[in-house]
Formats: sequence, C-alpha cells, structure tokens
Amino acid sequence: MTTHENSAKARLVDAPTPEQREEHRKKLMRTWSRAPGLLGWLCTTNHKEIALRYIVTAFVFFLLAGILALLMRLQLSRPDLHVLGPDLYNQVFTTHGTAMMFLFAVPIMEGLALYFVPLMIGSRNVAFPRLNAAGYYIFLSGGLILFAGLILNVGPDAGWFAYPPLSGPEYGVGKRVDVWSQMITATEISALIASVEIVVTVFKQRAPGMSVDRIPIFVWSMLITAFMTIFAMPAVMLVTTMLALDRMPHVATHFFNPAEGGDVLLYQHLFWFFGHPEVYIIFIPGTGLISALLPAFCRRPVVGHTAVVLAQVATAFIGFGLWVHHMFATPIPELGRSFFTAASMIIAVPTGVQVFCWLATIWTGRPQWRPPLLFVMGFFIIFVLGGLTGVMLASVPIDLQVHDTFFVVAHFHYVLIGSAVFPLFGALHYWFPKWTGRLMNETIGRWTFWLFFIGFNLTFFPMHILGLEGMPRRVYTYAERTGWGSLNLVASLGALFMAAGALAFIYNVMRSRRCGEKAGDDPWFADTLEWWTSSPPAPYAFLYPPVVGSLSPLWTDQNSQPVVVGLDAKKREILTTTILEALPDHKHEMPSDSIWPLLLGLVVGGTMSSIIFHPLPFVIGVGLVLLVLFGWFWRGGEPQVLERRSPEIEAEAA
Amino acid sequence: MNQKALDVSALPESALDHRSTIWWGNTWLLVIETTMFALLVASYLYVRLNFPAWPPPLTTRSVPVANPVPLLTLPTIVLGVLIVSLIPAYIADRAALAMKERTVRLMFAVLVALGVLAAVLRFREFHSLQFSWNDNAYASICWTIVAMHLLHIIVATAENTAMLLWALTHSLDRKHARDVRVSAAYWYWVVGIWILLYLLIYLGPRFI
Repeated sequence: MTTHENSAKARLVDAPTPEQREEHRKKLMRTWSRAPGLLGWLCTTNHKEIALRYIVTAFVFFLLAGILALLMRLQLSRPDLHVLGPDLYNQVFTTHGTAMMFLFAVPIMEGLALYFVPLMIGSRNVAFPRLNAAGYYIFLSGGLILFAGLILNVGPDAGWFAYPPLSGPEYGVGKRVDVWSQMITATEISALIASVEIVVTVFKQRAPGMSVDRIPIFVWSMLITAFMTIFAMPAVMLVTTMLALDRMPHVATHFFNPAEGGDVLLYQHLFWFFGHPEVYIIFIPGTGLISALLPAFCRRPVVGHTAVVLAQVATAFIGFGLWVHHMFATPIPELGRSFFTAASMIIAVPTGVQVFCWLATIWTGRPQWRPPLLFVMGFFIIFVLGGLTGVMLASVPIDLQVHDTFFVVAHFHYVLIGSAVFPLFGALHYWFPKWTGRLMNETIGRWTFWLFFIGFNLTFFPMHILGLEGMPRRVYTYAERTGWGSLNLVASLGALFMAAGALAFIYNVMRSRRCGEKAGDDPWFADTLEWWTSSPPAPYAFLYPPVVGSLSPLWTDQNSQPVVVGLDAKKREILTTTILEALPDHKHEMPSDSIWPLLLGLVVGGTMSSIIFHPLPFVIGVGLVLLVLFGWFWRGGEPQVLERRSPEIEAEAA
Repeated sequence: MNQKALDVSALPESALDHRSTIWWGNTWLLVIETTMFALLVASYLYVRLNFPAWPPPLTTRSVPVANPVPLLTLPTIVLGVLIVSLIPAYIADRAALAMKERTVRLMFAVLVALGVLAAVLRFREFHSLQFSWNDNAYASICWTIVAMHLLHIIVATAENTAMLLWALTHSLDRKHARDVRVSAAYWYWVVGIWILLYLLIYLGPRFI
C-alpha cells in the first residue's frame, strides 16, 4: 500500500477496545440515523431505506401489472368472450407490458443494487445519497402517471413500444400515448440516476483491499448493467421526446411523418437501440443474483469467477449489436439481416459459458435444496427453453413466419420471467432475513416455487403452439372455429396457479416478518460482506468498515483482517479508495438528510404530468428545477426538524 | 476479534480531481449527454436519406429558395463567444486548484456573462436555420439539436451563477474548489460538443 501517496498515510494500529467500540457505536448512531416522524421519513438519504422503497414499490407495480395479466387471460380463456372490450384490452396489455418493463423489472433490480452494492463492497452509503432519494421520487411519479392514466381511461393503448404511425398524431388521438411517453421520461431519469450511483459507488467506495479481482459477481453484474443503462436509456428518452414533440398540438414536428421527410423506422431503430439492451439490463442482474445465491447454497465459490464476469461483459457489448432483429419484418438491407442474425446467435455463447459455470458450481458443490436454490433451478429450465426459442427467432425466415404471434409472447416471457423473476424470488427469500432479521417459512416457500413454476409453464408453453398455429398477439378475442380455445383455457388456468404462487409469497412475507424464525446476522453462512453487518443493518451499516483480503471475505480470514478506524463518527464520513487496487485514498463527507430531493421529485413529477396537456409547463418546470437545485446546492437551508433524533438515540449519545 | 486496525485519520478530507466522487458523477452525466447528442446526430443522418436535396427547398416564403443552407454569421459569432468562454473557465479551473479565491470570483463572473450572452444570441440564431421547426423533418431535427444545446447553455450558466454567488459570499474551501472544477469541466463539454454540432448543422448541408 506504500506505493500510493495517500494510502501511505494509513497506518496499522491496535484494534479498538470494547469500550471504544461502544462509544463509537453511540456516536455513529446519532450521526447516521434520521429524524423520527413523517418528515424525517420523507427526507432520509439512507440508501437502505430508499432501496427498500424501490423494491416494495416495484413489487406493488408487479402485482398490479399481474392483475392486468389475469384480466387478459380471463378475456382470452374462451373464444368470443367480451369481458374486456377491444379498447380496454388495448389499454390493459399496453399498461401490463409497460409496467412490467419500466416499473417492475428494471427498478426492482436497481433497488437490490442500491441496497446491496454498498454493503457488499463495505461502504456506508451510495455515492450521491440525495440524488438517490430524488431518483426514487421521480420513479414513483412516473408509475403514478401510468396507473392514473389507466384508471381515468387514458391508459396507453399502442403497445409497450408505441410505434408510430399508430402512436403518432394522426392515429393516436387523445392523450393516451402522451401519458406513456412522460412516464418513460420519468422512469428513465430515475434509472440513469441509479446507474450513475452504482458506477461511482463501485469505482470509488470499495473497502480497502477489494481490488478489481475481489469484486463479488453480483456487484460486477450491477456495474455492467449500470454501464448498459447509461448508454441505452438516452435512446428511449430521446425517442419518446421526439414522439411527444410530433404529437404536441403547438409543436407538431415531423420526425416520424413520412409526408414531410420523417421516418417511422427511425423510431423503431432508436427504440430498439434501447429496447434490446433493455433485455440484458434485466437479464444481467438476474445472472448476478444467481451468482450470489449459488455460493451460499452450494457451499463453494462460483466455478470460473473470471469467465462468468467476462461473459457478462461480453453479453453487454454484444447486447448493443442486435437491436435490428426486432425489425426483421421491416425493409432492411440483406446484409443487415445477416449481420444481426449472426449477432443474435453469437450472444448465446457468453450466456452458455455462464450456464456451464453455474452447473459446474452445483455439480462440484454440496447443494442444499432450500427455496432460493429451487428458484435457481427453475431459472435454468425456463431460461434455457427461452434461449432456445431465441436462437430460433434469430433466423429471419422463422422470425417472419411467427412475427407478431403468441410464439414471440411465449419466447420473451420464458426469457424475462426465467432470467429475472425466478432469480428475483430466490433472492427475496435469500435476503429477507437481512431486511427483517427473520427467515421466511420454507414450506410456504416450496409451495410458492411449485405453484409459480407449474403455473408458468402451463401459461406460457401452450403459447408456443398457439403462435405456430398463427394466433396473433394483441387481439382481444378469437373465433371458435380457429380451434385455439382449449390451449388458451390451459394458459388461463396456469395464470391462476401463478397468482396463487404470488399470494403464497405475500402471505409468507406478511407472516414471517412478524413471527418468522429468528435468523441471526448470517443465517446462510454466506461469503459476502452484506452478511457481516447486523440483520437488519444499522444506519451506518459497518461499525468499523472492513478491509478485504479475498474474494469470499466471510469464508476466509475476515476476522483476522484489520478494520478501518479514524473516520470521524460525528459527521457522515466514508473512506474512498482507488479504482483498480482499492487503496485508501481520501475521506469524504456525505451530505445530511434533505428536503430537496422530495421537492425535486414533486417538481419533475408535476412537470411531466402537465406536459401531457401543453408544452408550456416544460419552460416553467425547467425554471422550478433550477430553483430547487439552487436550494439543494446552497447548504444550510434544511428544516431544523431533520436534526432531531429519537429520544433513545439522543440519550445514548449524550 | 480483529487483530489490528487501519487508521485512516491522517488521510486528506477531499480531492480536487478525478479521485473525487463528484468528478466521476459529472463525468458519467456527460457520457449520458454525449450519448444523447450522438443519437441526435444519427437521427439527423438517418433523416437525410429521405431527402433528395439537403436542405430541402424552402417553399414557405413568397419567393421559394432552392438551396436554403443555414446562414453562417450569427451562428459563427455564438460559436466564437463559446470558444472564448473556455478561457475564463480554464483560468477559474486552475485557480481553484491553487485555491486562488479572487481569480475564481472574477473568472466566474466573466464566464456567467459570456454564458448569458451566448444564450441570448442563441435565441436569435434560430432564424439562421431559415426554417420553422414544423416545416419538415430536416427543420425538426436541426431545431431540436440547436434547442437541446441551448438548454445545456442555460442550465450550465445557471449552475455557474450559483457557483459565482457562493464564491462571492463565502471564502473558498476545498469542497467548493472541487465544485468549481467540476462546473468548469461541464462547461468544457458544453463548448466542445457544440463545435462538433456546429460543423454538422451549419457546414454539413453545404457538403452532404
């Protein structure tokens, strides 16, 4: 460590005595906890609280979008039904897809990242705690805009990708598509904020000794996802803004208007330049979750750590080179088709590398068949099936044959639910004790898995066949003579099984958080640093931040490693380290709790929902945002009440 | 029980360069913004393919103009103002590194003034495009690029104004010296990206 000028100033000293530790703990508690009461709750900048809000909110959106799916399955369960009319059906499937992608899959993974990345790298908060809080409020406003729209019968109805001309000013009359495009802008701002948080946190705030080769795979996966988000999300923000400009009565640009030289295919290019990486923005966190679960339940590190990380990096790069395969049914050059077919097949290779590494981990480990590992096994079966149909769809002739049929619906549900939802449920079972200090009930956990697994296959496997038989997507009903009735009925019954699985999960959460078995700090004897904190973690997370000596710190020598002392407990101070070697670099004071992130969320949310009706609020919104940022920047303007602490904490600190 | 502890109390409390988290946060923000402008440029070139003549003939005037390339005078003046503004930004940047309070104040005052001047002139600059934004797709993409960049001039100048007000009312500490440097870095980007966009918007139609 002596090679670096700042790190040379760090010295080894004797460990703190128990009395010093207790004294230190009281001071940290005073410094890092937040004010009691509603205002304290709204103004917190503790990443753990914010991240849990992301997770809970995204899960609520998952349930709402799931209810919409049940409505669709009800409508399609028999031929010629009229439970939902065609207009409502359009709104329901569009809102379902939009909510699942933008309000559930991406933000819930961000929530897990914002919670666990700082803990896994041994830091006390994310890099920009206030911005993090603002990101949550902006995300929430986006979600509210979407569902408020649906309730008021202005739910988007042009599909989750809202292609013009259907979504353009000529055919997409009313405000429905505007609701969609403002929702996108809000949620993508929040996704970009979360990504910058993750990248900078991982770059600068790793525990001393956590050099690049000692970063856990979960942290890698979230870092890579954040990079992808940074390059992909601007495309969707831009394209939805262009669509909104085309649609605005007083603006009426011509980006997608062929009569004035515009081009609807430009929309598709820009949308899928985001939309395809989006699939990997959802999938790579899933691989990170699997790589976090397997060591704990197979009792060994993941086989081929470096290969898995490099495979994730390769996936991220190739993921940007296949967007045109969503456009095979449009007039694109022959060479383009060949190129994107090849790229779409190549991406199966790094995924295959990871799958074989994980299988080797299970094969050579001592697997413990507890619910989280069951969900990982569910992932293998479902995701591999989805991957196989993906390779089929990469071929242009097959794609043209089944384009816009239920075959595609089956494919992407296998891929996305397989790669994201199954690992996610495993992870929620795994980390539940970290949040609550209690274990989830394993019997109900097994029921959840089997209901969900069987229900999933019953619902989506028949859709392959329906698609091959020619049943199109996005139609609200079908005639009896098509003969699609029985397979659709099976699919609808499967959806009930999935709903039962989700209910079992919710019941388990509600029950276990009150009377689940006490977990202790590290119930799984896992290897990463989040389990080195108490369960649930204190606001300061680590009494003394760790120094890391290996890839599996809790399995090797963490108790003989030094801890970091010398950070001021009277302010929110953290240690930053160098990017590659994680040598101690400098101390950095984190900001206090603040009211400005909440105000920023309100201003952005208010602006987004007003732009739906008129372009003028944009100008006002920019002015208000600048005012709020000015208050944010000008330290010292916070409400006094944020300085208060609960009586017990005050008493201890005094 | 831990055997030893690593005492970091002697480490510095801030960093004024790429070692600080804010510097990285700003850098990634700029990557996001650059990606957005790159996609706008791609859209410009994509839309180009739909037009036999670029720019398309201007038919909204009483006498149609066959090759209405953007006018150069005012846009070039704005470009000049922006390039000149790099000088006070750079001097303030170096002064912050050396903790020279008075230089920072003076140079930020100049920088804010030049930013305001560029923003005001930019509103006039739209006329140089000769089209209204809703004439055709060429006009839409040109207006969007120029307006999007104007938004960045306004936001960056607002940020610089806040920085200036702080510097005028407080003595310069290291935390704010770092903020001065980050603001300067943001301004370098605002100017740098415009040099490329100027070439595309104003000289592009003369050659492609």
